[in-house]
Amino acid sequence: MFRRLLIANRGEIAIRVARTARAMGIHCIGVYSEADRTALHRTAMDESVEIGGPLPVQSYLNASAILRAARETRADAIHPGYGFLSEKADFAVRCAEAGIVFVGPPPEAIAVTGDKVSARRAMAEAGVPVTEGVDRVLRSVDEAREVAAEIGYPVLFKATAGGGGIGMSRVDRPEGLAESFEAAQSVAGANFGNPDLFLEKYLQKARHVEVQVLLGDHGAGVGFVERECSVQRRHQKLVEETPSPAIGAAVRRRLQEVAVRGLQSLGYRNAGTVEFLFHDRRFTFNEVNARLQVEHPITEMVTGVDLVRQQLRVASGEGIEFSQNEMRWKGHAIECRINAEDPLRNFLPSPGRIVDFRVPAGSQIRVDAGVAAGSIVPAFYDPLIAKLVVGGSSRDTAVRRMLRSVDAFEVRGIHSTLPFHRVLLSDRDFIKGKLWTTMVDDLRLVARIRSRGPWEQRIAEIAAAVAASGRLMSGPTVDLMRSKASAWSAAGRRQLLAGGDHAVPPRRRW
Amino acid sequence: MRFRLVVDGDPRRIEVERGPEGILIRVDGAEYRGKVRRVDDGIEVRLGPKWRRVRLVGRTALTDDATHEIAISEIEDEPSDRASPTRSRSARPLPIRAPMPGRVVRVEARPGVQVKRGDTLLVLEAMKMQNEIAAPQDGIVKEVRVVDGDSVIADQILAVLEAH
Repeated sequence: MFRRLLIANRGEIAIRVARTARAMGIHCIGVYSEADRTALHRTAMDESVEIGGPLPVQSYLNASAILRAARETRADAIHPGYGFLSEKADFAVRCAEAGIVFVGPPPEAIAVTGDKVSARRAMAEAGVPVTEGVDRVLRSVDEAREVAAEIGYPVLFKATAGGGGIGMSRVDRPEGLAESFEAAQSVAGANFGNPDLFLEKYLQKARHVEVQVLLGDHGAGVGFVERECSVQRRHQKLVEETPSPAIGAAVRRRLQEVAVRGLQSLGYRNAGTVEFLFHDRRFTFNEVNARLQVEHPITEMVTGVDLVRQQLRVASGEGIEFSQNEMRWKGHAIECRINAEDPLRNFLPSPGRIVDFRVPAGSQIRVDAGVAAGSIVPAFYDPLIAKLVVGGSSRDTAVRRMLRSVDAFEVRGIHSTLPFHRVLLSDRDFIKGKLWTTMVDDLRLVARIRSRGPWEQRIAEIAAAVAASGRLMSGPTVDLMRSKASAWSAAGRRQLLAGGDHAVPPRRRW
Repeated sequence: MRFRLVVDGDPRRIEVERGPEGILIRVDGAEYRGKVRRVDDGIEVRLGPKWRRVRLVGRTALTDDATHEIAISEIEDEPSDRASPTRSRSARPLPIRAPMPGRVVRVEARPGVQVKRGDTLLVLEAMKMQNEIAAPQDGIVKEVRVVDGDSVIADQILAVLEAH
């Protein structure tokens, strides 16, 4: 096993990887940017190294700086987490050249899965059902129009180099095709440095279902019970669960078998996920995520497997600790992503300082957080600050536990997606397990959010009192709240009034 | 009226409008409607089903069950359209503020140029999301206070529009 592991990431995933690695006796080295000098993930490491400026390209995407840090700290392996360098084939190559093990798939497999057209082609050759579409880059609007007419509208343009839902564009009618084609090309070019597009049939009211796969050294491996991630916004997942409420034992076996076979055909190793769209009782291939995924904890919750431990074992040549026949799972698990975004203002990013952070606790409740009270959430990185994961013997139990846990979760100082989750978890369709990828928009769930919760109502009450007090009448910058009372008398009042029903009266204290 | 209110370290932008039926409070854009009345030892506010007493003592706000540290700043008397329909007819400067901290990735507004409501003035990036800051109404761009690559803080004035 490795002795020194560099974790090339930040936030909750860096902390989560370090937790397992340190439990295995591995010395963990963290990295951080200038903006993350006080970040929580540094405290989860045995040591940490500053690697560059606040922008991702200066630090967490800066392969040279990370490799330098790895050499200086004598790391024998690098875990990339998700995002950043996790799916960059050249980075995996450079690790190998530096004699450092990359904890992830081989670079050739990353290269194939990172190009969506080649991934589609490879999966189709391995006998995996793929969504109706083209297996080549579209060279012109005319070519796109021809293909679209053939497979029928609506269709979906996708960037071959795409990811995170960026560069996808739905076209409902031939008239809108040319405009969408050009818009999607420019978005893809700006985001991925590659404007290439291909096209697939757009499946309406489909479910997003995916299979976690682990492949060992000789390609022997296991497929896990599927996860459903249909609750999305702008093609980004907000809530995931396992198993899918729509899938029975027979389809489950087929999904697992197909996913494992698909990845084996690529020469894949380590952890990966095959995503499918489930539609009309049929599933078709969507894409491969060649990394540990954000939502991996729900799989851990129902199977008891530590996926990071298995990743480290596979990468170090020790192999997976169990076989497909030994795989067991039970119950149901759900994850809510807590993002620093304001759902009441169209999910506006909400970086800033967290002044209070209270997490739920209890049996079958897991919180993977990248922040704590006092943490700064910088504007430079993605908005995920924590993952709330709960389990239950059934889906109903898990949904109810999740709702209570969301209510007990409090983030102050910045806005979060907690109010959205409260509304979703109370939605009739969600409770019934009727999920589809556009449900957040179709059901206008965001419009149902009435408030950000009791804490904000308190702020509104204080604001109303301030406005009504007449203290704001004149002048833009006068300090209107200067107290005439001395600090002592204010303290006295505070004690008296802060008491309420439950406080012990001062004179009865001894 | 608008001001910035920090309660126990949690900062919010507050907008208050008073009308005949009561008070409208916007807390970072979320609306609360209710009533306010003065009582002997403070102010009572009703935003939900219940009246709640709030006393302001120096830098603290005392409620029935807790004491909160508060700070108020950036007080502005910006009359809203509803409050002063006569003033809104003539040209008046309208500051365009950053809704969140971030980085300016593109400035599209040019001083002196006529813009329509909904036109993109500039693009602000935060947390890997590009957010278009659009003109809230028709007008002429009077001033642009940022350039590409600038880091801005929440509420910072990015541009000024002369609305009409």
